[in-house]
Amino acid sequence: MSGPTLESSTQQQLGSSRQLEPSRRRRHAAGSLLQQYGLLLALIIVTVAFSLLRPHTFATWQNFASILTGDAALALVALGIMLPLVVQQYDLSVGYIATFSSLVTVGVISRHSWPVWQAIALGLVVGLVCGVVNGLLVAYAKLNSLVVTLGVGSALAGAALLYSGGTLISDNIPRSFLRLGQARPAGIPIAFIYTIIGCIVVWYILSYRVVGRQMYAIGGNENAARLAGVRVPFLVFLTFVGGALLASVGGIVQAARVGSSSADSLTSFLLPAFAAAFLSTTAIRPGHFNVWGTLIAVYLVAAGTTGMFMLGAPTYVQPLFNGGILIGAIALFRLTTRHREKAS
Amino acid sequence: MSATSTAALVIENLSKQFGATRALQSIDFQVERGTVRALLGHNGSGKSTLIKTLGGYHTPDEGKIYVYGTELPPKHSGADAHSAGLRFVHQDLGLVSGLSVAENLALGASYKTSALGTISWREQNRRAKRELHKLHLDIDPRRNVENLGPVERTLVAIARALQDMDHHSGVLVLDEPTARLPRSEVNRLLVIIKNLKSEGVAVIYVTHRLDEVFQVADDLTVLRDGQRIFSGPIAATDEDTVRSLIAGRAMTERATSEASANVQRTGNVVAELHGLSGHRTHDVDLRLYAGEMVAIVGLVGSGRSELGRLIYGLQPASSGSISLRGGPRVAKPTPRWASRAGVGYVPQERTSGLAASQTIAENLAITSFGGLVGWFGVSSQKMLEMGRRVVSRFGVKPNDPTVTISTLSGGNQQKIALGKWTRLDCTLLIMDEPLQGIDVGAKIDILKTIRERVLARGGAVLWLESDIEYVPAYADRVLVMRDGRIATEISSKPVSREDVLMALYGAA
Repeated sequence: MSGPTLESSTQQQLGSSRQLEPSRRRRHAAGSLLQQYGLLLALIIVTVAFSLLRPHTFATWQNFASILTGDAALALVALGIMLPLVVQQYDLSVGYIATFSSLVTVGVISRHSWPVWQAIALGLVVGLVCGVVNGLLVAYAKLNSLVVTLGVGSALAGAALLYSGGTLISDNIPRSFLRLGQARPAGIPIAFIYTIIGCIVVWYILSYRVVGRQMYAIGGNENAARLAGVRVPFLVFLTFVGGALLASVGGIVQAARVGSSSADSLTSFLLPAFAAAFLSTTAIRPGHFNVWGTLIAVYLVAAGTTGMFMLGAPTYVQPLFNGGILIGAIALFRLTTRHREKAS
Repeated sequence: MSATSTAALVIENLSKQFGATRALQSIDFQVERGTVRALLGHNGSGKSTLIKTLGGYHTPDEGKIYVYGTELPPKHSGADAHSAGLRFVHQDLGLVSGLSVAENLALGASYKTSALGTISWREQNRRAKRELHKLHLDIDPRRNVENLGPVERTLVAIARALQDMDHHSGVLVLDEPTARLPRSEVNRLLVIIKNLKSEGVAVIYVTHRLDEVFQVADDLTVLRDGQRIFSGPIAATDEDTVRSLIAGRAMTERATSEASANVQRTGNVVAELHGLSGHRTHDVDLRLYAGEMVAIVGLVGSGRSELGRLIYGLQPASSGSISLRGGPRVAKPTPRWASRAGVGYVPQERTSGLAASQTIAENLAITSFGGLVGWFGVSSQKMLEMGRRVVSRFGVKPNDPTVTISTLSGGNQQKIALGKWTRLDCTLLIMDEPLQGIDVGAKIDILKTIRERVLARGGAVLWLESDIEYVPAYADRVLVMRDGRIATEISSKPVSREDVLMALYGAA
């Protein structure tokens, strides 16, 4: 890489960067195209490869639909983790927020026969409150986000155990609630539709609303954003609230899909969600956390683990795979940003 | 030279060249035992090059350095300088905040350990206490240096420098120790320096403050443009002479004026400061008129930078207020208020105002998305068009707004830092040392573009500067700040470099 980099920088010093030969330009363009869509390409390759290896089990609409449904909630939680990451803050509590929201929603339906919509509203309010607490402590009290969200997450884990009594809540769940997670309008799993809607909303806000652009600016240099008159604390606060809401939507979607909830139903989402958010920085908008990269990463991991199970891999492979992907993702993130810093 | 046998430090014929710049030209310099020699000169005079050469940061092209008669090896390192007995206290002191006084002293020398290698804190603290006592500093060595006052910190740094130096075989170099001290505390430091002197320590005292020189120094060396233009005992000269030597002109033509209040101005008042005060800044009244570029020149610690931060709300003002375009007086400005009112601020450290990993267009857009929003929201297309306009106006290379900031040279980065404000209609643009670390061509580009963009459209520019080179040619008015106050307005036209320098060093 150092060859072309060096040469084009000398070109600039001569003030003739415009004259960069067409062939080199094209190669640069091809390189950045590969960087932008490499993750998508990987997803396609993995899908095609497993489809060829297991044509009767993997390459079926039934299986694709189950992968799309199965990780819809994870994708929403990953979006929830990505939002604070845009402003360089960590939310380690998303998995617990998702769990607690799902537990409360299912709990009031099952134990107190609440109407479905009211129960869902309560679940979302729970998520909102958690996000507000995280946001206030991080953005306004200026506490370290890792510590705050770890603490809030731990407290929620305790609350979840208390509320559930350590058991699975699955009685008296009406069909109307299950339909919200299991229906397939026009053959498309409804859970995946929620995820796509969530993605479009977050993508629109981050890319096309001023607040979104300002959030990226905060992530780029908080002080510079402050100097430019950006309301840094308020926007940081918003990312925590938005992230928590997305997580609780994810939790409720998961509950509606499986028809139950327990104190640890979504807590294991933290690691794969982080991995997906970090993988997003290697794609679509390299060097920046972004929505579509996160979505692709979620399904890359999902397709990979499903395929491996079908090939007969033992269960310990999944956490191993997730861990490997996470470390690989941050290493790639580092490499792409370093490349961008060095590149001319 | 016979003096090598007696003097604490002798520098002979020292020369250093950086590219085409002759930073030091055959400098002879000498410090006797038990005396203080003041080293004076404006920015770029060669003063810091001399100190850095002594410390082993720079290798001299020519010349010899003797410490108590022993010659330093020709390409001496920092460690060589240390073992020869040279001790440096730099302006930023180099203390580790968060650690105790004793720990900071130990970092400079070594930890007192037991036979097992365990640090003996009791012994460590006792030792620190002893060192501090030598400087008549009675503080608990377990205290965090963060919680010390500015003078105490300076003294801790001096104690650290002296702890392993033999008073009779070392030289202490103090590089502007008082620049960041409040006026009231300077005396305490000077008393201690006098004590050290009477104990036989040889001291090089670098400063900008002439009154201190005459209180504490025995001898004096003045550098200008890399040359020694004066060297002699303090008794042989006086403040006015020294000031003229630094500024580089004959004493007879003193010409700064107090008539500033009478200057008639025609434009509208764009911004007004009413008795603005902060930590260092006291009671600053200032009116800025539409279409003028006002330079405030001041040395480090003069309150120049602080004034900019106070106006932009980055630091709370202890009293006073600001009004813009005849609006209400605002006592507690914030960056958000200021930026919305049309005030732009370009900080001294370039990096703190730019997002390095983002593109030129993204960095420019952040000041305001007005005009960049289409029917679907923020339009990348409009951002790029805006970026192209700014980039071509400032002549940024490469002229491509999609390029990442970190890949640009310092000068081009600075153009973006300024461009993000000048693309808007600025009421007032505050820029703190905007020319630092930029090549000459870019400096002139920047100043011209700022004048075109801001002044021509009815805004004003407040230019805070310590390096006066470009000030006379580009500023409409030059104010000199000293000790937190606007001391002088240079009203002579054209403003001369010498006038500004004379005022900087305190000619009334």
